Amino acid sequence: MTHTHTLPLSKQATLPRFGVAPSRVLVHLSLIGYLLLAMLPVLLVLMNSFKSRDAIFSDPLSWPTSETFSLIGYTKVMARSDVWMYFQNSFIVTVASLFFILLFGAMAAWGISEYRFAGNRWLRFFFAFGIMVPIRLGTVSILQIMVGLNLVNTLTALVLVYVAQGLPLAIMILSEFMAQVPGELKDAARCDGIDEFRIFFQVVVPLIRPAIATVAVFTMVPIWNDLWFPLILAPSEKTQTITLGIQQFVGQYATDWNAVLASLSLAIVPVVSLYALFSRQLIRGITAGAVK
Amino acid sequence: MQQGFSWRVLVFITPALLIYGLFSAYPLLDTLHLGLYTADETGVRSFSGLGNYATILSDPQWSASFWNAMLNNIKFFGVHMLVQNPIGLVLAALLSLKDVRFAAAYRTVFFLPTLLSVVIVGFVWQLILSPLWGVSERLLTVVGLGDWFAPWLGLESSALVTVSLMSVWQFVGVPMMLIYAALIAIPDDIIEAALVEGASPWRIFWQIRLPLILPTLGLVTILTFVANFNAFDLIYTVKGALAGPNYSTDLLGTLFYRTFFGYQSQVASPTMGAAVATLMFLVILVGVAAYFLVVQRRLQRFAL
Amino acid sequence: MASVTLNKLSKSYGNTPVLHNIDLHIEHGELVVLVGPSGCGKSTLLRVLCGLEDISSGELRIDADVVNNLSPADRGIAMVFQSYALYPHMNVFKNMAFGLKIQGSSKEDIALRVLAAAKVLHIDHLLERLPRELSGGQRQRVAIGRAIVRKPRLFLFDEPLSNLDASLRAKTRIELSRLHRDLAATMVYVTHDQVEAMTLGDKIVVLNEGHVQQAGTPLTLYQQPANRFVATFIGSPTINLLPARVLEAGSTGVRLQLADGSKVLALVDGSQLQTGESVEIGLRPEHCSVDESAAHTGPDDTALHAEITLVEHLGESNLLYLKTDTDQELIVRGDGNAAVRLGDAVIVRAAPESLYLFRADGTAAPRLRPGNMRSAHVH
Repeated sequence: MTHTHTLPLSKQATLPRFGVAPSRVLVHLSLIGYLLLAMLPVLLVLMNSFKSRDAIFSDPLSWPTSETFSLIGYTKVMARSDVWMYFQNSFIVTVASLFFILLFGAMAAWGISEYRFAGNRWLRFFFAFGIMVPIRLGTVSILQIMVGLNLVNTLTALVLVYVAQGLPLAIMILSEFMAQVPGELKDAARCDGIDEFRIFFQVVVPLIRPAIATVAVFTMVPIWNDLWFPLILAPSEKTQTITLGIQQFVGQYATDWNAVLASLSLAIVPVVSLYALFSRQLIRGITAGAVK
Repeated sequence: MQQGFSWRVLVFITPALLIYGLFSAYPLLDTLHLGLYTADETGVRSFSGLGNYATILSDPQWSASFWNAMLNNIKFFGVHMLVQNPIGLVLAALLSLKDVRFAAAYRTVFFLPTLLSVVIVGFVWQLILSPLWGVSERLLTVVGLGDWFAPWLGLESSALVTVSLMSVWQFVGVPMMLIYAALIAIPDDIIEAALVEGASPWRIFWQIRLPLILPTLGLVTILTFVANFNAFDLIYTVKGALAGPNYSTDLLGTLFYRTFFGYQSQVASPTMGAAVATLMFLVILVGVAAYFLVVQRRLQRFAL
Repeated sequence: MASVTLNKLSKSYGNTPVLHNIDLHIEHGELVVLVGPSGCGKSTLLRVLCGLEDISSGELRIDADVVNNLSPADRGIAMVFQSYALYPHMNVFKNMAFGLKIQGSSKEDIALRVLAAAKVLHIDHLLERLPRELSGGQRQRVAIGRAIVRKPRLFLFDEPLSNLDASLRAKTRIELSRLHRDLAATMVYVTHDQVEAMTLGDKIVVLNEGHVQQAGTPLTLYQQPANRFVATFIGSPTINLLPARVLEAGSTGVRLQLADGSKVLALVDGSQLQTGESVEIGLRPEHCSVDESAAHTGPDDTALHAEITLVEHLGESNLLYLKTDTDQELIVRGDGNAAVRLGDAVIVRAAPESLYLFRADGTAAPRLRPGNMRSAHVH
């Protein structure tokens, strides 16, 4: 049975290329629009941190010219606060926390996902709870404990707290990936008489590197940027992290625009540079882990 | 899976269990416990049952502060749900389209604010919105909206919304990324099948893509909820612990801080602080429970 | 139902050409199978027909309309995807109704059409289920049902049977054949399986590296392959190819000398061939017979001395793997009852009319008596 089908004339003429999307122009316009919104504040701060005070106020929207260029803000910041020490503190705390989160987290994830024992499910639930409930709510107690352990105003206190904070999510993500390691690999290793610890460190861990990268990404940023615990547990001059340091500095020198802009720029640049270097891995890590 | 409980399992699990238990789980329980006590001027603690809670909820001063913070927090959450998540959705949808040039570059830049410390974000925006500097006033004039400008951060009527929008600006990247991951997980041939059936891009979005990412939207919602009801850093940075003007930017987090540490005229009270923390915990628990019971059960992750 | 015409259609991805000057015509109601090895361009061609890929140059007509720039829906096409591409969040009914809803049909009309199609495909009891609750075969029917309800003028199938297990495949093949007949629909079907191609197609189009090697009925492709590629692609087991040299060539036949020195006759039109030219002759496994002696060998027959290296018993026939004196490997399909053993020295025989001949550039000399060769082992 033949079925004659004539197209309406309007569709017979050659149409512009159809697509799955609204017009390209609209898409790019929206994206560029938001791009500006996302970048402009940061750019403005960076630009103006290199200008003299007058130039900041008279012409904030332009790049520093040879006349307006000035490093006075930076010199002031360097002179008045120990920025490098703050960076150092942040670095130590973040790296140490990350190390222990990954180590203990992977070990615990392995213990929970690989071995069947009474209470395994409860243990999982116990850790999972920590993902949803913010650790800050227990601050009252935490401070008391730190006082009792004589750890107030030490970086150690921060590391302990951040590790406790980061473990639940790390354990959840890592155990999911570990569950996907083929059973045959582990069994083959066992048949060869390899010790459980070696299986863990030399067989399983290398296989879950993407998961480890994902966890590193997710945990590193909140630790570096955290204000609450440095403020409450380690506010002394010697133990300030860069986040706390900037907050105190800007709070103190609020009217000294050069110094303020310079200090903010100093805080921004390391993060942005690292991000520019590692953005692809970072985003890949997030999108991979996020789907779980 | 290996059977049996050997000493090895203990070795694997103990470090994490110890640290998490001691510094996360125990403090939380202890706080809940502490909320049931009061302390007199000498610092001696005595059991008072639900006395603290009664005070918070019925004492006129406490009650006013608490409900003010609660209401503000709800508004704070509202702004995020109405602005942050839809924008994240739109950006993710745009970026997930085929053949968008520089998509990777856009994604990278959009995620940048999320990486910045809240402190930085707070101060940067404070500067930009500052009437003294005049940058935002100038920019608005360029677009023709010069009359719109006002010292929003300083006005009681607009401070909360302004701070909320600052937070939105910072965190759009998170829902954007999560939704983007969910969108690209949708197999291409399903979209093609819809296309072959004559569906317009609009229809494909509403009737195919959106239903398939509902679980992710649910996840984004609960994450926003937990983060918002735990928020502190931004307000503290921009407005200080007093969360002015006139407590209009006070959230549960800042209330907790003030109660616990004391601030200016308010005396520090760990027990009352613990009670506030417990209430925060209950609020978050209700939200999370609602998520698991209602959302998770109804929205199954459709096997793709 | 529609006819489809491709006119010098080419497609490139950037600078990489994938389809070269495809000329093809499909009649109303024909089932055309596009077949070829992986990467030959058959799926690309299907997607181009569908409208999911654009055309770099050339023309595509459906009936009288040039559809190069039309969206898939505007072309009146329905496609069944290899993975079925059912909407995971919609039940079977809604999956099938989706396209109709877009067209604006009324609720009653949609219900009628969906139910009718569901009945034809025996899925009417599954209408409330979600895709993940269905078996592979059921999902495929839903995919087909989704295509049928829209009453398109052209059906496209992208390897619809490849995701099914073997037993289901045979059954479904028959049902697709029946469906084609019942709907009297124009269908274009892509597969890499030549058995599917041979059994389903009214016309088969063999593709390789983006070029049409040959288009014709299954029997034509089997009996008169246009070139070496088609001859080796169609027919299972693969045709045996032996190098040879032309001794004498004419339009009534060609005399050749094989590697072992023997002289044979091939009943092909050799008018294009030169004396002394190096060619290949083709012997289909099912057209050869295996004898213990040369008793039945005619003067012009091909007769090769070989040793049996492997026997595969299939029941009604045997597949004999042999090696000739000149180390040439052959496969012959023999009688399942024959008492053959590994190591037996035999003579592989083929009649002149069963031979194929291919020149060095791959083109085939036309066979003069292609006929339907009866399997040589039955006398």
